[in-house]
Order: sequence, then structure tokens, then C-alpha cells
Amino acid sequence: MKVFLVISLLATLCYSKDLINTSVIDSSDVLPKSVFIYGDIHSRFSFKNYYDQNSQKVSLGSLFKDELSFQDILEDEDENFRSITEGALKAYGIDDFSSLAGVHNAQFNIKTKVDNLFFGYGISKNLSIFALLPRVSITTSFKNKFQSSSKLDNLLKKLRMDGNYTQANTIENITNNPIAYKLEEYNYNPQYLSEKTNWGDLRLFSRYNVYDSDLLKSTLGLLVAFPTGSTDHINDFMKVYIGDSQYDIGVEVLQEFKISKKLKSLITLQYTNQLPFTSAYRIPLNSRNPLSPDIDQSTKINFGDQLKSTLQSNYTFNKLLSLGGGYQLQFKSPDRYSGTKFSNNRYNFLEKNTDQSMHSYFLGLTVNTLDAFINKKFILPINLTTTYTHQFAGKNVPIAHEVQVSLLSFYK
Amino acid sequence: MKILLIFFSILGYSQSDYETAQLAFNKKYDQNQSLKSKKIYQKIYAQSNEITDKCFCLNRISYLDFLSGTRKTIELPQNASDAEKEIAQKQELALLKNSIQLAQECKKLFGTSFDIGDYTELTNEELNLLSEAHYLYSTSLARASEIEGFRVVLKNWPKIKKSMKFIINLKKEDTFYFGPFRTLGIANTKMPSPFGNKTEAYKYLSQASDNTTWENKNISKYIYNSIALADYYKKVKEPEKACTLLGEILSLTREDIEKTNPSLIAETLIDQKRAKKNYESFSCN
Repeated sequence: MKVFLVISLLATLCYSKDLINTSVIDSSDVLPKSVFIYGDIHSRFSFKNYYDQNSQKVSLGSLFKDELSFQDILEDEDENFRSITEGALKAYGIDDFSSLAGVHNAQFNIKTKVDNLFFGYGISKNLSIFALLPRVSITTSFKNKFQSSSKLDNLLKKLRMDGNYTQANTIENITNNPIAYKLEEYNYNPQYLSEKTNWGDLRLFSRYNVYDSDLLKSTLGLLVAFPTGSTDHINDFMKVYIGDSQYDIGVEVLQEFKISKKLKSLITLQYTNQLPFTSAYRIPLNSRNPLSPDIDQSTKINFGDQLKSTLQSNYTFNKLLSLGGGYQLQFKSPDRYSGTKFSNNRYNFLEKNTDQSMHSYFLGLTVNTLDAFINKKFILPINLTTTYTHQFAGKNVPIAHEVQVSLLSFYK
Repeated sequence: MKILLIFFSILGYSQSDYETAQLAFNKKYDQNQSLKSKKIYQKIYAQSNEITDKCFCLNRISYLDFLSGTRKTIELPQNASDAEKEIAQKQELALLKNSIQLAQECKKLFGTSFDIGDYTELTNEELNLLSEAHYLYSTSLARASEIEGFRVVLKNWPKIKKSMKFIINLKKEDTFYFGPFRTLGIANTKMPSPFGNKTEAYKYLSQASDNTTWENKNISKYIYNSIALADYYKKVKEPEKACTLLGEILSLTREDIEKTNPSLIAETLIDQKRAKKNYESFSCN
């Protein structure tokens, strides 16, 4: 049933191993020697829609809507009672198990707030190092409602009229909460935190300015992500990941074109390799349902590598104000899972729909008082940028509207 | 061969373990050999990290338990007391339950889905193992249910049918000499209407027999296919056909069996005993 897929989707939405909208007004500049930069990059985003595996835009609500057949009821039934229920259905004239028993309508909302603590230092004229530590707050809500068909209503009525209360109640319980039995049977913790705040993965990166002329500026970058963020517990049925559990290493190239004194364009290309790791993981029993009783304590996990490219232009109105905008394209290869406890096909169920792509645009306004500060016209050397980003196409990614405000200050 | 031996020794069990187990398995009609084979497969299972090896061993042990179980009642003398019959059935049931559990374990290694799309990445060897596990699970469950009573048969029939149809969907209907056809045929013969359908029963049983014909004979080389067909004939009131089939089974000599069916000696000898019982109870004499 789709409801199971949605739980897995929920995990994907917040999992930083996956593509996230990271469009920011970037620059190929490095810090002057011995200058510090510090501040907070705050962003908020919420999800309403999703690009599915066919790159079709679907609402999260429609992903939760699921038609339940009588066969689904049987499959969710405790194995010991399944045949009895099947017999009861037949006895009451329901021979076609594929007919509609009802529709599940679930409501699901997710809101995320991230504060990235940012720190940088100019080691030399051409080399700077930076650190980014996110503090992530995620609010989730999940409500499930079942609307039974007239066929099911009649069946329940007949069962109760004939005194078969136990069978009627069992069927009703399954339809009202289709995964409750499985959660209990598989030792999941059915509760989940509707609000979760924790530290994400620490990212360190450096940028080295290799070439600078009146027309061009070329910068190379290296980045490493450390698994400092919090992760889920193996028994949490609703996984809200904040950290990745593994190291990332990446390289980037930034090429700036100085078209005029006021107009610059920037092309960036970044490749991130998510390093493999071993962790306990629940291995699904089939491709439809991520819930499973089987845990492989040594599952080998290799999240897909990511490729990101940005095309950006900046227009400087004056020394205080500038406007930037651009387009970002991201790809992620499929995740890989393997192990020795079960057959490969069971690990492969986890890989389904984990390849991603994302196209987004962004627009930002920057106020920079550095020049005013040097000329003693402003008390603080700050850089304040407000950016709006939005995905307009993609595959297996949520469609987020994100507003980001970064407030950075300099010190020497 | 040397490379193979090194490979097996790295895995923690020796090539000779496999060979010895297979040799004992081939002689499984002898209870001691059956037990010996079971113990070696248990050892290989415990030491192996390969899914296919594990599943293979689980299936083998499951099958040995199934065979040992069915022998408990088939080999009971005609004049056995009710108490003796009850003990034999209890022993058979215990072995069958073990057989069911082991086959379940093998099935689970590949997943519990009945959607064949979930198995497209399996190799032919893995598909064979999965089909065998489903077959062993269902036949042991069918027999155990039969012992436990008609209500249990009705309760478990959907599971048995689902597993057998799944094997057919996997295009592995030749598993255990067309076992899915045989089992569906037997079930349709034995179950009363509307659960059982005699036309379906004949369709399945004749397919199982026709696909496994004993050279120059009118019976299947997997004797139980013909016994099941004889049961069907008896049920549809064609006892002459049933008796002809059973008579031909009983006319097989040990030499015939060893020559034509060296890998099925135990099964054929056990089924000959079953055929003899049926021959007498059908009053074929």
C-alpha cells in the first residue's frame, strides 16, 4: 500500500544524504589574509508537492491517498487470522478480493528550520577555510483517515448482525490503522517526535583562488562532511534524519566572468562523493512495504554521489547593494545497499527511486556594509543576503519553497 | 578441483562435507543415512555465509524432515493400534512443523513477496531454491493440516494455493517433478466443492504425470504423481483406471527403480508402500 511508501518518502524528505535545495548567492572570492567571517545562515522551507519517479509533480496529499482492496485487508491481517478472515469474506459474498474496500486519506505536513553557524578564515591571500554547522528543527504531523466503501459497510453490518463481532472488529481495526499490526509484530516504536531539533553534519571546506585577472577569476574548493548529526533509531518507524552517518568528500570549481564593472557571472561545478559505511538496517521483505522485522546489523550502505552545477549572475547597483540570481542543476546517483544476511534482491528494494535530479532557480538581494565600515560610515562590517529558491523540475525530490537569510560579519 | 577445495576450506566447510552429505542424501531411504545427511547440512548451514548455500541446506533438511515425517504413518503396519497411529501422527506432525519452519526460513532470505517483479534480479539457481522452499513449505503445511483436521485444511488452503501458483508464475512449475501441479491437483481432488474443483484436479494431475512419464510405462517417474492421479480416478468413480495405475506402480522392481530413478529411490520405495495401501483400500485385488 502507498501508505508504506509514504513513510519511506518522509524519511527521504529530510535526509541530507539526498538532494536538498542549496542555491545561495555564491562567489568565487576568498577572504583576505587574516580576516575572519562568522555569522548565521537561516533558512525555512515547507513541502506541499513532490516530483515523483516519472518527474511528475504530485501533491503530498495525493501520495497519501490510497485505495484499499479486500486483498489488502487480508495481507495486513495477522497471519494466524488471515485465512479465517478470507473465509468470512467469502461466506458473506465477497469473492472478488480486488474490489474496493475503502480509501485512505492521510494528511502529512513537514516544516524545516535550519540555522547554519558559519565561520571562515583567510589563511593567505589566496586560501580560505570555512566551517558550517547546521542546527536543524523539523516539525512533522501525520494523520490517517479511512473512508469505507458501501461494500465494506454492508459486510461489517452483516457480520455484526450475525454476531461475528470479533471478525468485524478485526477488519475495522485493520482498515482504520493498516500498519498498526505490523508495527507491533515487527517491534517498531509506533510513536514519533512531532518536533525534533538537533545538530546536523559538520562541513569543512576550503577555497583556493588559482587565477585572477580583470576578466576572469578561477577558484578551486575542497569539502569534507563529518557525521556529527543525529540519526534515527533502528526501531523508529517514522525516520526523521538530520545527520547522514557517513563522511562526504567533495571538490568544486568556480569560474567567474567579469562582464563589466557591475555585472559578473559565475559558473560552478561541484562533485560530492558520499563514502560507504556499515550500519544496522531493516531490510524490507518486498518492494511495496519498507516495514520489516529483519535487521541486518552489518548492512553496507553507499549513498549516491552528487553532482551540482550553478549558473549565476550578479549585478552590483552600488557598493552597498547587489542583486543576484541563477539556475542550479543537481543530480544524485542511486543509493546502494548490500549485505550477507539476505538475498541481494531484498537489499535492492531499498534502492528503488533513490536516484534524483533537481532543477531550481534562485533570486537574492545583498546588502554589504564592508566598504561603508572601512570608510567609517557604518558601525559594523556585515553582509546581509536574502534569497528565495524554488525547484521547478526534478525527480524523486520534494518541491520546497525556501527563504534564506544570511547575516555574516567580518573581523580582522 | 584444488581451487574449489581451497574455496570451500576458506568458507569453513570442506568440499567433502558437501559430497558426503549428498552421498548420504542419495541413500536417504536408510534412516541412518538420512540422519547423517541432515547433520552435515546443518553443519554447512551454520558455517556458511552464502545465501544460496544456506537456502540449499535449509531446503534439504526441510525435505528430509518431510520424508521422515510421512514415513512415520505410511510405514505403520495395517494392524497398528489406534494408540500407535496417534503416536505416529504426532511424530509426523512434529517433523512436518520443523520442515515448514525451515522452508519458511529459506523463503524469507529472498523476501515474502508474491509479486514476481520483486525477484527479477535473482539468478536461475536462486529462483530454483526459492521455488523449492515454497513447494516444501506448502506440501508440509498441506500434510500437517490434513493430520490436524478439515478445519485446519480449509484455513491453510489459501496459503498453499498461493505458494503453488507463485511457483507457476515464476515459471518453475517443474519444481519437484511438477510439484505445484501435483499439489493443486491433490487439493482439488480432496477438497469438497466449492473449494475443490474436479476438472481443475484432472487438468493439474494429468499435466504433472504427462510431463514426467516413466519411459515405456504409463506411470510417472515421480510415483506420487501417478498415486495422486489414481486417487482422482477413485474419487470420480473410475476405479479401474486407478487400479491399473496402482498395479503398474506395484509391479516395479527395485532394479527398475535403481536403473531408471537412481535419485528417487527413497521417494519411489516410500510411494510404493503408499500405493500398496491404496491398492488394498480401493479393493483392486
